[in-house]
Amino acid sequence: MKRYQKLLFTCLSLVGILSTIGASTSLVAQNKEKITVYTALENDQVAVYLPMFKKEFPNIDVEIVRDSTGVVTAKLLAEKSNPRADVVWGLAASSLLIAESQGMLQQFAPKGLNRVRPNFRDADKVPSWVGIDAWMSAFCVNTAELKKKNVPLPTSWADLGKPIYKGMVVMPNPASSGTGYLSVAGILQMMGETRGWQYLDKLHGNIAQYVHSGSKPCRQAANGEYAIGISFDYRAIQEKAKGGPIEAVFPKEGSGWDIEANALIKKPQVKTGAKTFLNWAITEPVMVEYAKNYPVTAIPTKTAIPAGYPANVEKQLIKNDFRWMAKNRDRILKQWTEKYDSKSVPK
Amino acid sequence: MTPQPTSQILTLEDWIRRSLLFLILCWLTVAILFPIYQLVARSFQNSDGQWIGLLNYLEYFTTPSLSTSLLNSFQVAIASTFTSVSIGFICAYALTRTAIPGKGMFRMFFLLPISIPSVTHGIGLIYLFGNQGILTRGFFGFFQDRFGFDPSFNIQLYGFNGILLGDTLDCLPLAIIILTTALTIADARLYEAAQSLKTPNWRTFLQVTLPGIRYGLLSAILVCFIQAFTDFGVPIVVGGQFNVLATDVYKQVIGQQNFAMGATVSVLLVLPTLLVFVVNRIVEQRQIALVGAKVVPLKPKPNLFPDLVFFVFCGFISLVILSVLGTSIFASFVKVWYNLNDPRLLQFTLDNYNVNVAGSTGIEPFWNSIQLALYSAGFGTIVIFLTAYLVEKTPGWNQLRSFITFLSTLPNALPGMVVGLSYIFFFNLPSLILPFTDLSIPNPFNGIYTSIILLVIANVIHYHTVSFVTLSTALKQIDAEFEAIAASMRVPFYITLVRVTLPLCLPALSQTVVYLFVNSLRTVSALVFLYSAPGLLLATVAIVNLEDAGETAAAAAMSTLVVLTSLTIQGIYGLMTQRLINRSFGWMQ
Amino acid sequence: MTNPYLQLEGISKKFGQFIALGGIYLEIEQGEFICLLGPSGCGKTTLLRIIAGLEQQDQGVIIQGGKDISRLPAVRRDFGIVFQSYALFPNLTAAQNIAFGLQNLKKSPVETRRRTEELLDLVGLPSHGHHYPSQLSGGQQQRVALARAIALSPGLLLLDEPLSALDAQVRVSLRQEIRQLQRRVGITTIMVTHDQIEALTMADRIAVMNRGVIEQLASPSQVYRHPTTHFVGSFIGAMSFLPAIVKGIGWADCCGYGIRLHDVPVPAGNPIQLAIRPEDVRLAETHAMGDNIVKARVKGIEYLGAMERVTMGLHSPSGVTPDGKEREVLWMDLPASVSRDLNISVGELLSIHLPMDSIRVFAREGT
Repeated sequence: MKRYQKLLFTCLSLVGILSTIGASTSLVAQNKEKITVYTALENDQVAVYLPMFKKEFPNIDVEIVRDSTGVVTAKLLAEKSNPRADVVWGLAASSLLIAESQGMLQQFAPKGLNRVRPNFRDADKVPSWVGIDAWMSAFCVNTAELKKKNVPLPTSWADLGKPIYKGMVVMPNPASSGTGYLSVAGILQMMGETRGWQYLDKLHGNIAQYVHSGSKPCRQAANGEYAIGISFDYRAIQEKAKGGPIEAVFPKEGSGWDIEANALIKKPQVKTGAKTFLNWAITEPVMVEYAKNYPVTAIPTKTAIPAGYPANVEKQLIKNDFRWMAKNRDRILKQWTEKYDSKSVPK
Repeated sequence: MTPQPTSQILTLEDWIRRSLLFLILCWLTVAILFPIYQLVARSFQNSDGQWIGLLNYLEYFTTPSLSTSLLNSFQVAIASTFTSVSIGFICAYALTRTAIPGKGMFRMFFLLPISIPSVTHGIGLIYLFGNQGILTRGFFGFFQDRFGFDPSFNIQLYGFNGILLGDTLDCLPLAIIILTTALTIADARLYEAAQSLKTPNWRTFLQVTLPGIRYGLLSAILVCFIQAFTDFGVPIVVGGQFNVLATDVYKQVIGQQNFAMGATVSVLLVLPTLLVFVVNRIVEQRQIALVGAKVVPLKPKPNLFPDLVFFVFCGFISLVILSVLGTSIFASFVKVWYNLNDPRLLQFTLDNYNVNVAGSTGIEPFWNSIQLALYSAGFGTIVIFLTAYLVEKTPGWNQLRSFITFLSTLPNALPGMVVGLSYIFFFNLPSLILPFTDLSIPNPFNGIYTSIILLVIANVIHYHTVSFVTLSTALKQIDAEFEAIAASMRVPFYITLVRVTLPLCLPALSQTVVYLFVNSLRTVSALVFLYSAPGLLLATVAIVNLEDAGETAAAAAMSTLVVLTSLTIQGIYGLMTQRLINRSFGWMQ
Repeated sequence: MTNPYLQLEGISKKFGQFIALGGIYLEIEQGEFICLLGPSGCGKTTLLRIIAGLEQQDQGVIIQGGKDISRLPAVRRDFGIVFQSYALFPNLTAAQNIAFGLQNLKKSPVETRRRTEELLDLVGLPSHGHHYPSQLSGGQQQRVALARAIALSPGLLLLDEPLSALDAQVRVSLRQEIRQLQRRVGITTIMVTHDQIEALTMADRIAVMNRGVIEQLASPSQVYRHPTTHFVGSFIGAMSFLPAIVKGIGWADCCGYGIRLHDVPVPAGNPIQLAIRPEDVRLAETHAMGDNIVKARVKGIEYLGAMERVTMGLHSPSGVTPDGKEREVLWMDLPASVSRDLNISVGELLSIHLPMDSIRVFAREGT
């Protein structure tokens, strides 16, 4: 008779005990050195790169905090007085420049620095940041959807501004997405501010949604949710490789771009593991992996340009001033938000 | 001998109980009052922590991109309340006042959304009504090919429409539960009287039915309004450019790390909720007074035509609920959704569930969530039971006990986002300034900031009220004389607690465990700010992040895991209560 | 003289503005059975709970067995208690309920079992030990509650309306059982009840309570035959009250009739109340005249089985009171056989004898 009562009782108390034990074990610090790495690299990339590090340095416990460029930047700046990150890995150089101007970065020369291209690192002798690769704007276009709607494939920024694409374009919000910001900054630099904003006004008329990540427009295009997504090169090529009716378009005028770079966070006590990580992050093996995803890397490798890129990919990159991008980020975002973010009712 | 004013000598047991009660007070103060104070204070400060009065609010109301969301929130909450209460009323009416078959099944379907995270509704809606949704694409030409007609239609999901649909689904079970209760307590004698007076049906409805459930109806409206007004999961997924307060808090805090504005928007989110909460408390008390009166239950009689209409309606609503869930489960197995446009290319895959596949965050967040749900259920049930027990059964200290009761019911008025944000503010403070002094001490609670403990506390507080009410109701139903009997036999209170009170509360305790587990698994709003601790990514937060990155299929897969787990737990609980408890507890007859 | 077992000295209790108890003095002897009798709200339950330590008096001293227990919490006092609701632990069997307090005494399981069986025998439920409360009848549950209350052999047994929730028949038999049990165990007992029959049949002494004070404390027959206040007279049994004015020593005027009384402690000219029980009222010869003979008109006859109760209105001796205006009510109980022979009918005018020995005199307030 009382067996079930006891059983139920035991179950309940077990839950209680388990929860107590569980909570306390999670408190017990492991004796491995633990470093916290903030990154804006793509999830699927981290999933390839990070195991390489863990294999080589099993004694260092890496905790990855991954988010979109905007979020990582904002988080970093918000924690200025009490930083939690030890290392920043693969964050937009324009974002790192802001952190540098706030005095948050610790200058550090990782091993093998001499092999890094000069324009892919901070100009100081002991640099505040060191790049790993470059990424650029690209369009993801769902050709099947375009055919259905009976409109031609857009091949340039100018095309995207045409009214025939009304309601078909998705674009990342530059305030939260690095891709969004490099696209907007690219347009403003290519066309000059006045014409740039005029163009953005036109583009805004065609936008169906502003989203919060650089990957989402491309995936939405792949899903056919919207026909055209303003995204970045890696994502566009990945989605095409999955086999959907996706075309990766590199706009004729050129692409805005940014460097994904690493930096050491200034803290009262800089962990040795953090330096180990930064040294590793520009070694040959991992550089080869970067090169499989991005055609332009900080240290040139012999890896072939990934399929889907234009042959002379370096010509696709516009003339880009990172310092300008960093200095004007606040102003541009504010203006952009005022102009376009209050568009609250869809269509 | 002149009589002297007397008071009882306090025994050790009294001291134990009073110390525990005091500890509970401290716990609730730290977990509720301090964080809320921080949140409100931050809304009056700028980003550097300087006091700037109402400037944040001024900025909010003068910046169109911000202030529109307040209006939007009201709009969409009112609309969702209207639809969910209307549909809920018809369903509840069908369940209580008609003789349709399959009531048990319908009830199960209607209550299904309770186990589903609201983000999952959003994902299901995308696959049904999005631009490549099954319905938007007219079943991808299936009917076109075979029968030559195209049933496709586009409801323009992203924005108001999507939020309305998702929040209606989210609120529907709440409305149905409240209205079913209200309709069940109606007195059959009133209807017999109306019938004998030959009152036409519509007048009976207007003059007997509606007045009889007026408090229930009002309560349903208020509860649904709060739910829709504060919901985060649906608008973050299908809101498009239609900003609401909850997504604004998220955008301000996560997107721009503008904590001051986040706090300001949170306060705007909590004010209407607090008001509605107070009104609802008053209404609920009225309704309880109605339940107290003796009524003769109503036995509905079959009535072919209306029953048929109600049956079809219930069937339709069940179909909607099931297809939104079913579609997102289905989508989680489809390799490339777009290929549905050409059925020959359709491929199924388990990749979306896989750990190492590109873009996926893996299954780890799911295990984190299960862990968190277990801890929250375990810790929450223990501490909330202790709170309810001490409040109900401690002699004396009446003011403290009623203050703890007040604190215990307060979280119902706090949206999850507000709980989460206020926790960031309070627990991340490096030091606390003692009130009325300039002394500052290191924040002793800072240590748990990045640990799962903070998430557990957030969940326990977020769902404190319902658990507390459940447990104290169970305790109230236990004969108050038990304590006197035990005292007369000089048995200490803790032995009575273990041997009598706890076993008698077992049904309520297990109900609380399940409630806390399911809701901890399901919630996203409180946790979306707190997961930042590395390695603590949770399933529902992962769903939001995956959706944000456009990984809708992986988000659907994670949703499926969450929903199936929560349904399994409830299934087990249902079996346990129905079979085991009823059969084997001889005394429970 | 030995000291009483329980002494209450000036117990008072207020709930907000409401005075629940206004200074209670009570002394109870060892082994005595005391009933606290009164209408609801008279403070009897509050008094019981104060004796148990479940409520705390505002003022006053309680001494039990020579020890001042005024400030002791319930756990430190020495009593067993039975409630109207039985308050049996529903998840424990009858035996487990009874053993609940014993187990806490760290006695051997054998001893505990022996005592439990003994108690089950004592309350006449030797074979019901393994039953859960829900499987027992109300009467059986109350017996288990009783056994549980005396399990630890407490010095004082407190019964809070123990029979109120039971059927009439069970109540009668349990009433006797409790009384017998109490005698056998010899335990000092206080029972709270609002049922006068219970009090009259069970108690050694009854404390009749009204509005927070004890109006009379006496044996059942004393309380019935010689109520000391109007309230006691009217609360216990039926009693007719007639207004009168004292005319001299042992003499009063009641609505124009001369009434002879035993000594009246009130000077002449003062208003008083005459009280008489229905069974003491006698029928007189039709034309009898003289002291203590009054005329009354029959207003109704109530059939009570062995008795019939005749309700009458006092008629003016001058005969001027019009029919239907006889305001002062007088009851008379007649054995059914007698009334059958007399064949009294409504509206009839009767001569009534009010025997001097049966009349109680109370002060008349207000008017």
